[in-house]
Amino acid sequence: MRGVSVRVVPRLFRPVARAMPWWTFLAAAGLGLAIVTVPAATAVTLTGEDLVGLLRVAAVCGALGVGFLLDDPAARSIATVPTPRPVRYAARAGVILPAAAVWWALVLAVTVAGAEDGIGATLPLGGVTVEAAALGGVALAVAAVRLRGRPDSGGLLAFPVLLGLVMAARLLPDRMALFVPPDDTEWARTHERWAVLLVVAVAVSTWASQEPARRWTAVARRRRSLVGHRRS
Amino acid sequence: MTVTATGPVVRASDLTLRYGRTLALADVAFTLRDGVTGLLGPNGAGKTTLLRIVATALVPDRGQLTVLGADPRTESGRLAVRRRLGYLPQDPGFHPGFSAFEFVDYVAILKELTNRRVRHEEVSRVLTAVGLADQRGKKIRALSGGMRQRVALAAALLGDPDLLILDEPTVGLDPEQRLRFREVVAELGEGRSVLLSTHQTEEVMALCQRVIVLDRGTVRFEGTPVDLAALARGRVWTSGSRAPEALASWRAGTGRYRHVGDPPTGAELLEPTVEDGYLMLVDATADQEAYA
Repeated sequence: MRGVSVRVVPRLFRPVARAMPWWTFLAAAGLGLAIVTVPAATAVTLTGEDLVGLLRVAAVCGALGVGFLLDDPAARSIATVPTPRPVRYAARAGVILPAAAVWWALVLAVTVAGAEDGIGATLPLGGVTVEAAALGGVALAVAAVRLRGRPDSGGLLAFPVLLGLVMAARLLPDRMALFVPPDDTEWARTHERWAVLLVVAVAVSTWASQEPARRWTAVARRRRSLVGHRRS
Repeated sequence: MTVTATGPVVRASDLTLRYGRTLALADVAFTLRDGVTGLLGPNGAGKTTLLRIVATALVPDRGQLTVLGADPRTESGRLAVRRRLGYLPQDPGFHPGFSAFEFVDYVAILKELTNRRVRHEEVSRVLTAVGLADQRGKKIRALSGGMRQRVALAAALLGDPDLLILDEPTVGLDPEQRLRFREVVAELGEGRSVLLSTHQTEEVMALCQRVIVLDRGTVRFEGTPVDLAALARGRVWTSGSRAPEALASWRAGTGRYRHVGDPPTGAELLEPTVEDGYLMLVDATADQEAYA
């Protein structure tokens, strides 16, 4: 991205934030927040494991909503502007991440506040946050792949794929499990897997945000190197 | 990187692209110079694919392409092209909650116009150029189809591009809007290159200095509209009844039939139009392939 004007980026945040389709995210995030509000709003007593379960459901809700935030009805109109797609995606990520972080902080705060005395302090909030980040990352990665080369709805693919992955994760054998109870001895190792998933999701998102012309450049380079090989 | 006054603005050769098993473009070669060039062809001919490749939105499987003196295969070349390019896609999208001014202003930021005052002046200039100065504050969702198309054209005009690519810009417009649009494009064609994809042969006759006919992914013709019309010279005739042997035959407003094809001996020949030439070219190709 040599030569790209970096002064564009800060000026993009406001219009990009306005252009993003927030309603789906707000609905999903609102649902997630409502779910963790249940213990506080009712007299039901929940264990730490139950609360982690609620946090996981809230995280899935948020991730499902995040998947729609890359959708851009004006994608065709801006396909050939000098500001390349990775920069445009970075601007979107710069809007999505703080919004998602604020929402998740609210979800955690409500959950801890609604927990019985002593339970809130024992909740493994860091580990569940890694799970939530990975789920959001996967949703964004699937959406970015869907939007690569065609203006479409990334969320429409991210939604079923994420739900399918969550269902499939429930069926994994114990040694590969992703959703384990907080007192499980495998908790730390499981969260290493979540962290790897997050890194993979970020890598896929980065790859998918590249301009399609990279393929052409890569093909041209490969052909040149092949020609070079044959000549040498 | 700059293009000389006489050099081609676009030079393409062997451009080939497949969508899965479908061959969208096959060894397409053409050159584009200053003025308005029309890209004619039936549905599915590959017009949009070709325009998207020239506009750097799509990557061909193989072939050579130079746009405005730069090679879009390289990152720096693509950036150089995009800084001097205006592209109006076939089905432009908008953020409906934005006003016309806000949307064009957003595109202007993406086109690296970072100085707020300069950018706003430029946005006002292009909105005025497309006749939307009075509608600048109106939400896009409240604009008619023709006005939205003009918003997209205004966005394409930002930065006074050297090459303007318009993909079927008059589809869905009523006759008055079409004429208005034609006026704007004709004015834009003075002093820059415009590549205009269209189904309408009358648009080619009215606007274009040159025309390229694309059919089934290959270039069938490249020349002036007069040359295209001349392809049907001696093969357009009129009579009082339908001619089943003609490629096309229809009753004109005069009440007499107009035929395109091989005329019978002694037929009353007519001066061909661009449409006649196009029909001969595309139908003849279809016939050749049908008999092959």
